[in-house]
Amino acid sequence: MEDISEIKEAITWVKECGDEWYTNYYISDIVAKQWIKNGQLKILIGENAAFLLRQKQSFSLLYYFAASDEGLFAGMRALINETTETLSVDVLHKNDDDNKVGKIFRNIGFDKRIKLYRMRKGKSSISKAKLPKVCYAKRDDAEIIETMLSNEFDELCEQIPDIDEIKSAIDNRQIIILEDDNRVISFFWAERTGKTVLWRYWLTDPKYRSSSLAGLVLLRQVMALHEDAMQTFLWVREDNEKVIKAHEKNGFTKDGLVDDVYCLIR
Amino acid sequence: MDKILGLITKEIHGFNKTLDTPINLDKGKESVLFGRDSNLQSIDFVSLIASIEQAVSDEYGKELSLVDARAMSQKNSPFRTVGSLAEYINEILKED
Repeated sequence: MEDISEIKEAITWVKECGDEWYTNYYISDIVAKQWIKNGQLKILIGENAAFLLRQKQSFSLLYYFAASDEGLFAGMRALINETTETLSVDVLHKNDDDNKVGKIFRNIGFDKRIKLYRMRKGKSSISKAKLPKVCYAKRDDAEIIETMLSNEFDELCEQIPDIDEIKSAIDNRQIIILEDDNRVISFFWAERTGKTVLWRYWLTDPKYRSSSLAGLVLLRQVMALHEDAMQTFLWVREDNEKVIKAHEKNGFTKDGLVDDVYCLIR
Repeated sequence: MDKILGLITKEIHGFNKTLDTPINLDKGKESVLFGRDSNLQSIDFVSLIASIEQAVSDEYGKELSLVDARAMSQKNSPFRTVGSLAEYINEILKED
């Protein structure tokens, strides 16, 4: 792909093919342009559907656009024949709906790998405690942050950001850190859009988890930094009951949006 | 101090029901809370501290935050045992 206009043209064309709309593409233009610049994006046009493949090291993330379920099914069957790499796809839907798209992917041979719940909290009151001075991550910290993320999360289905995305977040002062001996031991990545905050990652080095206040301090710092936010979102794995309960105790509730991640391993 | 200890213990008892490995309170004030000898993970610690703060705030009518620059700077963590936490809370309440 050369230019973001190719995505917009594909979307326009697909929408004219039918009355429905199926997509999992919610990527900002800024991010998409970076992927194109890095040579990571490939576009494939089917009969009544279009697909984007974002190439990662050992697999590709799949984004789809279709105006009917038949179009999506036919397009996916053709795409599988044209590609050989492992594919991972996020299917977002409301928890209680009949997930047509998920069924399509399962019928083609994808397996559901994990389910993630989105949780939401409204405006919070925060304490006025004097916290340690906030320390924003520097570009030099990007590699260690990337390593910590890779060690903790499932690359295939938890959309671990690459180094460019981490650096961009650092440049935008989205990541705060705590260090020990000049080494990042804990970080919190919170993305702000208007009055909404998305807690993307909150991670402490396993060696420090049982003995350091780092995680809690960062949490309080993030809450203070965004005390004027009207709502906060986060995503949590369905199988992580302990974390779900902890977030519920802190005022979060599942808001009904679910992300089923399907993979075709090849 | 006994009152504060009572509040902390009550919160821990309630919290223990949600933990796979409950916090052992057999050693009373010397019971390990958070630190190298503890089984408590960060995410549980966050929740427990929040509930203790709330309980103490409700009881004493004062807003309380236990996690601050002072707590971070202490050579010995005030959260290492039930007793050290009670002492720490007592100090904070006296200052206010």
